[in-house]
Amino acid sequence: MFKFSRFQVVLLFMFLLYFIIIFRLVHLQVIKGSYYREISENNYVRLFTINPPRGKIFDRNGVLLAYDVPTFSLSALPYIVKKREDLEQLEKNLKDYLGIELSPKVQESFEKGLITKIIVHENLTDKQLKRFFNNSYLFKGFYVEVVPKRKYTEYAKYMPHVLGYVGYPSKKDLREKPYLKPDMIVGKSGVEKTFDEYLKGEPGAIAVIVDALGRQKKVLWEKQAKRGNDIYLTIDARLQKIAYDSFVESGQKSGAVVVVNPQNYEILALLSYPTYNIQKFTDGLSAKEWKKILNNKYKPLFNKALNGLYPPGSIFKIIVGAGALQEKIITPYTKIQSGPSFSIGKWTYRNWNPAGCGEITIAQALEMSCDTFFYQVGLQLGVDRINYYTYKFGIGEILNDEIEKKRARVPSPDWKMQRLNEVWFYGDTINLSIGQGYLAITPFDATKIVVPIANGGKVYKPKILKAYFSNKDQRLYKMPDVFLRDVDVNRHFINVIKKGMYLVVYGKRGTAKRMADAPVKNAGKTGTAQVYRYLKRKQKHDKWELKDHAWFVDFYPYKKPKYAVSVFVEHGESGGRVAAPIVKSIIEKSIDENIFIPGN
Amino acid sequence: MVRDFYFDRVLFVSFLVLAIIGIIFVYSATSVPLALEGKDSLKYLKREIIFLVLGSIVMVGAYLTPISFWKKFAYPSVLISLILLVIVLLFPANFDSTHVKRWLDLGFINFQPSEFAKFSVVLFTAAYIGKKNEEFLKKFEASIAMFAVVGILSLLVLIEPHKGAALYLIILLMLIMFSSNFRIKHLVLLSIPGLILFAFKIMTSNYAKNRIVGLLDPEGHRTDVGLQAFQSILSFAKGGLLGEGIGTGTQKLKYLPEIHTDYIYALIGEEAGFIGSVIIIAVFLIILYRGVSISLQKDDKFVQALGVGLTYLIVIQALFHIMVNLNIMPSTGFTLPFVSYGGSSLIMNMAYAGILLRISKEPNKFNLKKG
Repeated sequence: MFKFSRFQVVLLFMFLLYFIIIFRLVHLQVIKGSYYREISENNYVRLFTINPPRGKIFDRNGVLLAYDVPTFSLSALPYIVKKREDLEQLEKNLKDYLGIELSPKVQESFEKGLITKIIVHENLTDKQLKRFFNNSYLFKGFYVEVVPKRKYTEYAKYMPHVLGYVGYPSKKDLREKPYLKPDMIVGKSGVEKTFDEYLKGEPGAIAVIVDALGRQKKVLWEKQAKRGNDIYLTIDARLQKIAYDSFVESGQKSGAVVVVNPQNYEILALLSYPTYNIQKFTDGLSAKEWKKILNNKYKPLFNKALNGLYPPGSIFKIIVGAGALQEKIITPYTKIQSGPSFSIGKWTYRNWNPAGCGEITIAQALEMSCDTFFYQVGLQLGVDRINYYTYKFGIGEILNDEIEKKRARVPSPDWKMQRLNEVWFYGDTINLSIGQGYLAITPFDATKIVVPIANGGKVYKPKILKAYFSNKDQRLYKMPDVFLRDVDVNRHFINVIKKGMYLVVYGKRGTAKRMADAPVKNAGKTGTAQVYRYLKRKQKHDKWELKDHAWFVDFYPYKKPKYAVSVFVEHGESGGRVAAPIVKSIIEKSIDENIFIPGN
Repeated sequence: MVRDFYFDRVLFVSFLVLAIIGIIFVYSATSVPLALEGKDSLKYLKREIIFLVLGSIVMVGAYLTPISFWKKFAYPSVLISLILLVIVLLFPANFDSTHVKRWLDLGFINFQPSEFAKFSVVLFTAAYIGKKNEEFLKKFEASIAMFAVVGILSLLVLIEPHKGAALYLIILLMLIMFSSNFRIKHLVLLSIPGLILFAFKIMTSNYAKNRIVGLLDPEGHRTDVGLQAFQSILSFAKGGLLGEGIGTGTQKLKYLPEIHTDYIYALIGEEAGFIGSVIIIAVFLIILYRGVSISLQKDDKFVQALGVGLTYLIVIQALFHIMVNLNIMPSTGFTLPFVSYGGSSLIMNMAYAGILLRISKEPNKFNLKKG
């Protein structure tokens, strides 16, 4: 049996302890609360994030494209500034000693006395730094931070669209990724954005006791920032420059060039023209410069190579021809009478060359880009089967979402009914057969037409990231080639198309005879796409916006293709006359610079 | 009277309230820091809920277990504790490569053998008191036996080292012994060597010394040894009367380390203020009053001692946690029962709750007289 008296002692003791606790709580929370709160405001631990340097970006051969340099920023804790400084005097001091004028935003946060730190001025010069430290008693609540800044090399200026740019996260980014802080640098477009995970590194943090004047008294603990991983692109910076130079020399205003390796679909060059100054863009543009870029009618910010949708015109005949062979609509030897025009019902469809083509095979039809041949073949093949092969080649599909953002528009009867609420006519199929009408693809999609022809019918996943170096594992990870599928066209038929493309360059009636004296055997296909369907072919239109688009796709060397190229010149008028010479210039220059050695 | 599923409603509701408060504040303590690190902000909450579900199963199991089982299990449990405490010294879970050997890695959970040792001390003392007659308990041998068994367990915990838990075992023992018929003279005599050993341990350990310096002058040492203590005080001060609002506290942002376990009371103080802090205390006082009074109504001496022992176990732990948080006691790792994050302590506490509820169902002296 328990003694009650002892229990009473124990219970009394415990209740007593609990009352001591409550007394303590009253003391801390009610009586001395304001005393400690004052301390917690004035003399407190503060967390500062340390932004890590982003990873470097290299080209396939290790040519440096982008890297980080440390810069110094003047930051401030507004709540201390407000308490300790006369704002007017402070403004004067900042101007007199450091030559810094406060932006309205900074001024506002000083007046409000915000808790979170703000950046007052970026990129302090050595002189400003010295003056700040010599007169720091004038600037209570201010301190200097090391901030990494993105720098781009000389080669980077030829590929601003590929690299993209970096900046502070948007409100949406901050909402979606809670680990981001407003003063962190993130990729905003291009590979900077796509591969941000590799590049961004891990921010560090430092906990510091800050006294009432904002001086950092003592470091409590520090978590080192981890620098981002370096990445290696498949881009060849030299070839990119060559593509750029060749386009500039052509005198054309706007367009795109894509060079890939058809054997594994590595992207070697990807140009959207005109370009913009990537460094200025990262450092910040003035309102005037912004306006100038936005008002430029050639749209320098728009990545035409990946995001621009244009009717492909005759380069699409490659797919229609391959499909017709595979579906036994024609054999490689079938000759079809192809006159100056083709009529169905009351509608007449003309050939681009009023002379007509005569009785020709598929290879010859490609050679002279004979519209009337493809009207007949396309009509027999039908829209469904044309689309089947279009999709097989990867057009209308995103093969790699790290690269492509825009899907090609591949029209079908369903699509037309849904979008335009109209039925599909034979005329639509006829237009589709020569790559006109509603069909629209990107200059990158154009490489999807030529790559499977060059490599014997294989579709690979396009690749722009060759490798990355993991700082954690201290090793280089190479990205594998990914084979996706065959285009479902017999190898023999592919060779027939290949032969047709050879004739485009070397045939008597080829549309790209200018390519024949290129220093390497190659094969290609021209395309001249009408922009406005209802304008007559012969009608001369001088306005740039009304001129036809010029296309040229090509691969070389003919026997063992190592390069596949697509050139798009916006309103360039003629594939053979305007687009093809750009490819020729690329070949010549890359041989001159020993990037490509023919015969090897 | 049908007492098949009877249990004390007040006790049950008290435990439930604590568990719910626990869920809320574990989420509050962990979600924002996790999110800031880009991790799953629900990580700890999910685990805590899993532990609570497991704990509930354990609680129901303990409630359904006849008291006679614990009588039989009492002495073996001491042996199990001994073995576990030795194993943890030999194969400790590697915790940030500190030299501390407190945890066993059971795969899904890190188990603290000292948690189990507390339980076995209560079981052992209850069984011993239940078996021996009152005259024997007054003898010096009886006190020696009790001290010897618990002393060995305490010593093993001290080696880990976990001084707070070692001291806790001795205090628990003394309170239980004091509450029954042991002689106070014996108690005082036997606790002297223990006190000397403790004083020696503290004097020779820089770590422990620092904790005491931190206790005495947290403000003067707020950048080093008094950091935790000072930040904890600031938490309460920031909370004031009504608190800053649940979820809106800032001390959890790495200012106050271990806030979800050893300092969750400070978080409650910050976010729920004086009102919230007092509510927690009130719930533990209810458990203390209810647990002891229910136990004393029981007929069997073992049941009485077990009930009182488990009540002490819960309430003293809470007292220690709260006193550390309020810097009345030097900081040492004590979780707040049912509230702090932690699998093994939550599951063990739920087991105690189950046993206490079972005890509430056992026949009363009063009933026996009537029947």
